[in-house]
Amino acid sequence: MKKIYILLVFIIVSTISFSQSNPSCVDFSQLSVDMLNSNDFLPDGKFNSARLAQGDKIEMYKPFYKSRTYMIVVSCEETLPGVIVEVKDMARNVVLSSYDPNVVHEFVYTPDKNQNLIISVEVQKSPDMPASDKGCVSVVVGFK
Amino acid sequence: MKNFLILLTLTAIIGFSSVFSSCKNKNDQTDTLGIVDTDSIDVQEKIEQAKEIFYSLPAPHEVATFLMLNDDAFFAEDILNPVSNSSNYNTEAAKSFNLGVFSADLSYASLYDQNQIVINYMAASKKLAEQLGILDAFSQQTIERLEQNINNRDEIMRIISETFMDSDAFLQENDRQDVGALILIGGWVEGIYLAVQVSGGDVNENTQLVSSILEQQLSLELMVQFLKDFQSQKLDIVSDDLIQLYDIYNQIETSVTDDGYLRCTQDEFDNLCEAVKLLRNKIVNLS
Repeated sequence: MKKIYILLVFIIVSTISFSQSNPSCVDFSQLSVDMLNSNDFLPDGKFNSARLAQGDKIEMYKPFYKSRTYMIVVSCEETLPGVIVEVKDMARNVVLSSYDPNVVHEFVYTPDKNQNLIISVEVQKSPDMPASDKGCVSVVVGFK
Repeated sequence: MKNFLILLTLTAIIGFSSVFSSCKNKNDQTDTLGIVDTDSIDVQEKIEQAKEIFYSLPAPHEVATFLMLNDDAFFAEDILNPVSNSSNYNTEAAKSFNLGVFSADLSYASLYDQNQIVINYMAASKKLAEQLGILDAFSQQTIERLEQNINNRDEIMRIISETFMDSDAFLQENDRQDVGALILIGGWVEGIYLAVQVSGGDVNENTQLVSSILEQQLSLELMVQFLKDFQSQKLDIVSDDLIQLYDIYNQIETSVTDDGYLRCTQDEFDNLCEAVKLLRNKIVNLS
């Protein structure tokens, strides 16, 4: 009986330890933040990341000011077939885009006017990869 | 011994429940600050089936940089929220809002190489962060790095930025996005308050700074949308004030000067400044 309880405690501790050491999308996003830093852009202080599957789409709303230059880095883990990116104004006119389904997209953008923009990211579908697999997708922005 | 085993069993059950419950919440709720529940019809229409939305509200160092790195701006210590106020904040909301306020103050001070003030405000921020359970972001190591780089403004801003990212990461991973939102709102309000104070309230002077204040309507627009979509009782403390401030912004009929700056009438600017001051004083006087 005592052994069962000891085993139970071991399982709980293992489960908690595993759940805490499981790498999160924050760790993945840090790679994109490093890209901002190496290009001399100051990160805006936020991780925007989520675990997505093929066909999933996320959007990020952010104000962009004409007196600044921005770097946008969108990336996904290699468990996904890649993402495509559109940056749109609030009327959904496309301002910037990258339709190659890559795992990393970078934009350096100097707005010609102040406006809120929508960064829209869609995970591509691929018959060569399991549709049920999920992976981290991250959008980080820096400015200077 | 039997009691100990019963207690152990109960602990085990509670432990398992907590683990499963937090995993479920993480999947069901949001992964990061400001992702809204896409069940809302209004939101669903707007986002064209996006799985999640992020509102990237400006962080205090971004607001301070935008507003105060400006030809018209200067440093004035007496407009900061005194660090001694940190002991007045007892609730989670008061601590969160004012962590944002202190962060904006320290960002402002760092832009003007006010090294001792930066260290003091970082220490005050650390104290509030600890009380909020944000353990890693404002570590002793961060303070030491700050002290080592105290004469390097760019590096200080980078440390502040990293501190925000670490806080954001911690709050995401612990499903405390509401606290993150309060920090950002507090920081934004303080940033615009500092700008209003430095502008002197005269639309004919400091035209660049006045223009930057008027341009903050963009950030406020997203903030109001965020308040609408992200329901949290803690945000109720300021939501009406922010909506009222947004209404004041919307009533302003801006024109553009030959230099490309936004301007408005003195009355419009007076109304705006008054609303900003009231909201900021409400936040720093929370207990």
